[in-house]
Amino acid sequence: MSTDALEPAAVVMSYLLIIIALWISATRTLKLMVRLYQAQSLALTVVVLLTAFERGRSLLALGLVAILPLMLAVIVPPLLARATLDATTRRPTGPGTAMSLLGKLRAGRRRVLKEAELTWLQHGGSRLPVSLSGPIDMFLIATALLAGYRLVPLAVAVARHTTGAVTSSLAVSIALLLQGLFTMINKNDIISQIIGLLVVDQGLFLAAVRVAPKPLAETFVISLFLYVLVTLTILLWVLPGLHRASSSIEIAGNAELKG
Amino acid sequence: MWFSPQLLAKLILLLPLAAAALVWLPMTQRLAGHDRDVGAANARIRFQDYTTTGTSVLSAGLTLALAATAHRPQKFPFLFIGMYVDPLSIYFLLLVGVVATMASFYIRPYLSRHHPDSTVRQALFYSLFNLFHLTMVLVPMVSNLVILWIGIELTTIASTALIVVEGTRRHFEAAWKYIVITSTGIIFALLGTLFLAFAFRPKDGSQMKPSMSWYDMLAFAHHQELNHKLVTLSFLFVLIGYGTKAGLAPMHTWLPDAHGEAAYPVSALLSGVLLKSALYVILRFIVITNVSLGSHVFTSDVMLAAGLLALVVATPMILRRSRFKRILAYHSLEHMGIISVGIGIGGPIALFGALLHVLNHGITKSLMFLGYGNVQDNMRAQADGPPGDHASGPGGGEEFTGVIRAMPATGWMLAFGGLALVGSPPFSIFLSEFIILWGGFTDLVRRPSAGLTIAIVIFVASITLIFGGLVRHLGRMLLGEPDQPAGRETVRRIVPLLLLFALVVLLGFTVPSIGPLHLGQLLHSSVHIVRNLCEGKGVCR
Repeated sequence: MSTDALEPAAVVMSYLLIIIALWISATRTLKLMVRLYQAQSLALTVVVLLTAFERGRSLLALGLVAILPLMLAVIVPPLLARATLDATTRRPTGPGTAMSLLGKLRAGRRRVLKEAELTWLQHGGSRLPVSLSGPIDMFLIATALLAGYRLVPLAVAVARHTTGAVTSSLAVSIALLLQGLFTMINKNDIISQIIGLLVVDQGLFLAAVRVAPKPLAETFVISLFLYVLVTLTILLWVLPGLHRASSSIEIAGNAELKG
Repeated sequence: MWFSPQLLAKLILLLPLAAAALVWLPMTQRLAGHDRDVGAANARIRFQDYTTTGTSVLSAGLTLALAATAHRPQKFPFLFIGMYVDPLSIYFLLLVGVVATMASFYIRPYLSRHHPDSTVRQALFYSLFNLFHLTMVLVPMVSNLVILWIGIELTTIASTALIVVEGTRRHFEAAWKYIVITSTGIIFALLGTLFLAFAFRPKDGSQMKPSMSWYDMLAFAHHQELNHKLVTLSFLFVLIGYGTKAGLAPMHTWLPDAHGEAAYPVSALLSGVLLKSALYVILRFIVITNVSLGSHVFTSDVMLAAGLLALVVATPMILRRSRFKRILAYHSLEHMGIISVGIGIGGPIALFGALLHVLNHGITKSLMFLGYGNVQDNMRAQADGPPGDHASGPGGGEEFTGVIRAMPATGWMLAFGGLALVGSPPFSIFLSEFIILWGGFTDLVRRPSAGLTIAIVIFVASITLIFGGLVRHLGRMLLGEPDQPAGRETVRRIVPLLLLFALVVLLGFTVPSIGPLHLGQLLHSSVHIVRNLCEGKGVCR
């Protein structure tokens, strides 16, 4: 594929991110939300790779940038699953089969996901009905697109690359930001809130990779590594702890403090 | 000179980093089985305590030395990161130094009361406290605006860990709200920074290259190489993002929970310093925006609106009956509002007052949180309730009464500290609030405006109502007969309070020079930086 064809492909893929975010917002089960988040992360990985090829980045830079969304796609679901399961539940230890360490890890991952899916099927509801949340989502997307298209002409001289690519990426980034925020507000459980935060995270990532002026893109990408650290702090420590302490993943069950 | 300003600044960064690692050293002894008896355990705790308090004291001393020696802004690399230290940075470093030093003396009493047997938790707490200290000294020194964002995020991680390390449901809930709300808000800050990067539009023949350093951005702004609309948008995003972290309304909802539930040495740091770290970043962006737009009207209006909103939101919350620590947390919202109003009024007088208020509030609030920590530990220690129990009294109010009788030294410190917090003369906050008001009236006389008149009316009404609210809460807690016995007040728990109180009184009468530190001069230089008046040289380099 020539580099000229890469840009439209990246643009199309980035619009796919919005559609997936819309689906995440509309879905009623956590199981589907997690799957959709994984799909969104993989789509973002493709966008990042296409962008990197298009702008002729080195192999190392390309790998470094693409690894983040890919890593999140792989590690987030099992971490969410572990946080979903009651941490006090004792896991059955299997018979001492001669499995490799990797095999045991895979088996453990599968088991945790399977156990969590039962809970995920019962949660993921929204405060607002789809008939209301859908139009709100569409309004947010329209606002983001308008904002993107109004902002970019101001900065064409700065970006020094095709206006269309910057416009669409900025618009998609803002749309993901707004959709993620709306998901966080609209959903009833803390796992969905985290997924909303991760959707916001994807928007930030897209902005850093595709919108940031080229000489400064690396600095912005460094900041994303830090943001992943924050995400991991939440997933590994705060979320399981909160669930363990309150025995509930519902927001209503975690509202002892009044803000 | 033996210690150059750059070396001093590097040491200020390195010390807490080293301490964060060193406090784990005795754990190796424990792993080797040499820490089984009481004497060895005490030695371990002493080592961790001395390391942390020593680091904080030394770091504060180095900051004083830096203030005395750094006569001009310093630019230097540190671990591949560009650093920039000017009087505004030093002023905020000073605040970190004072509050971290005082708070560090309370870690050992806190841990011995709440986690006497958990050696890992103790080491973790000491380590995280030092890491938190590191992140807070990092923020005022970093020059790159993206790295600055990273610094602010690091403060979130360290402080969240310090809250959840307690391990109870309320702590996890508070930490959850804190990290989710601030992490979401801070995304706006990064987008704002991105817009600023986008705003760079070099003129034909310009030699300037894109950069995210604060002083380069300021130079771009001076040379009119930043797009005004994008700079404006950037400032709004940055204010939402860092405003969330600074606890400005309406993004403040994490603040009472996090400040109310954290261990009291951590609450002192969260309220006294962390909010101001975010404010420091906002100040840097204000300078860029003002210079770029060639006027301070836009940022002034926005800051004034943000400050007034914070005051309006804080007032009913403080008047409501609630736990005292939460009320103190809402006072942080109020005082961030006052500082924002001061910045919004602008001008040399109000800005001077606003920056002075940053220090005054940090010191007074530390006094209150640490003093209240004494009450919680000593009075609850004698009662039946477990240490982790935060049950409120009847009606959701405070559970302690008669503190002055039970713990006279702490009780009186809390009484005077409370009066200081609500702006009574002759204490420090009265002086800074008075200066802000004076600045407001001066501006009003010069340029009469309905907006500023309304702002001043709201400002005065809020602080008057809040005065009554806190005095009522304090009266209920401090006066009367104690309903539970209290433990002995130790020297270690009283001396830091007395030192903080001495500062509160001293700063109520004057802006002093203490040893090599000329606080007045430092403040004037900081005001000049915010107003971007560097002796007529344009860019403060």
